[in-house]
Amino acid sequence: MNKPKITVRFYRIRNRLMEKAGGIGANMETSVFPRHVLQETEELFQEMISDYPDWVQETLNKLTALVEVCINFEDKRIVTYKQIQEIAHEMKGQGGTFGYPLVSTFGDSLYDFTGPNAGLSDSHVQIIKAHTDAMKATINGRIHGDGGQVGQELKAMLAQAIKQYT
Amino acid sequence: MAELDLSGFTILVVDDNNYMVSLLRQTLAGLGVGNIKTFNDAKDAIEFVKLVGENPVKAGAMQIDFIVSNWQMAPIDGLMFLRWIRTHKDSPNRFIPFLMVTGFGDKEKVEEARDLGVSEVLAKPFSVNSVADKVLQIIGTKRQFVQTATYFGPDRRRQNLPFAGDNRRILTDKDPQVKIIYE
Repeated sequence: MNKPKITVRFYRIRNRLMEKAGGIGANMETSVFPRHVLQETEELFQEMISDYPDWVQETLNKLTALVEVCINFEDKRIVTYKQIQEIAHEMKGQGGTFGYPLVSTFGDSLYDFTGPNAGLSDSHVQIIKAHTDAMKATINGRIHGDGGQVGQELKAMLAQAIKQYT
Repeated sequence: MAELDLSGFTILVVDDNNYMVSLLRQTLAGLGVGNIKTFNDAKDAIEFVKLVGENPVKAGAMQIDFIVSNWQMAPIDGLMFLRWIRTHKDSPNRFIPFLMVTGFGDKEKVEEARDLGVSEVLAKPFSVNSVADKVLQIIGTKRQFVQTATYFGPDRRRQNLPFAGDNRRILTDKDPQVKIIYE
């Protein structure tokens, strides 16, 4: 009688990484990063992310240029939307990490407005432009957290633009 | 509690965004990782992974302990990179832990990465604590790897919980169609 064909393989291989990091017998329940290491890394992290507004200017410039392409070249909108959407996605992820949750909010909305079923009209492009303007205002104004009153005003401005052009 | 020491670790970080690479590098270095190789392009990272397999001395690393890669990159994105690691014949270590960094938070996307054999997913926005948690998961996990006709990667079932769908895991360790490979 033929042996049945093997259809599933389970590889039970020892994960040596914990041993490498914590020594023999170390496990997840009994091993931690030293508290001072986490604190020092957090300080370093905060220092690094304070450079974000300067660093992100290049991305904002690229975003502005792409919006200009959409405004001036109707036939290039579909392709350009895709590029804008990729940047919007990155901005969405970065915003919260770097202390600018409003950028994440605007990036998330921009991501949706440049999706595969996005409108290609001039009005739609104006909504996209309003998103990029809101992101630029947030970064250039160093509007951290929810931005307080200024943050609310930016959100209201964007909501107004969406209402106006939809 | 024992304190973790990652000074002997070599980690690969891949992101086409220089600032994110720098941030991840500094964070991992802060957590004590001794050797961090960074790349802006998954193609270069793949070449390095191959070099480590073929000539560790030339590569400057005897092995890579785990990979941290952004998902959304061009021309090769994180998923394609993961697929290469898990399935390509030239991949020197198909079992290497793979941490995917992504702003995609929706369930469908995370499942897409899971079904290609990702080890852990780090969601953006991240913090020092969330990176530390994922690193701890990576080094502390004892999940077996599963190979079927349609999947190769860490066991996607982390817990044995009841669920509403069909039970597709009908074979047990004792079935002749199942082979268990121990180290």
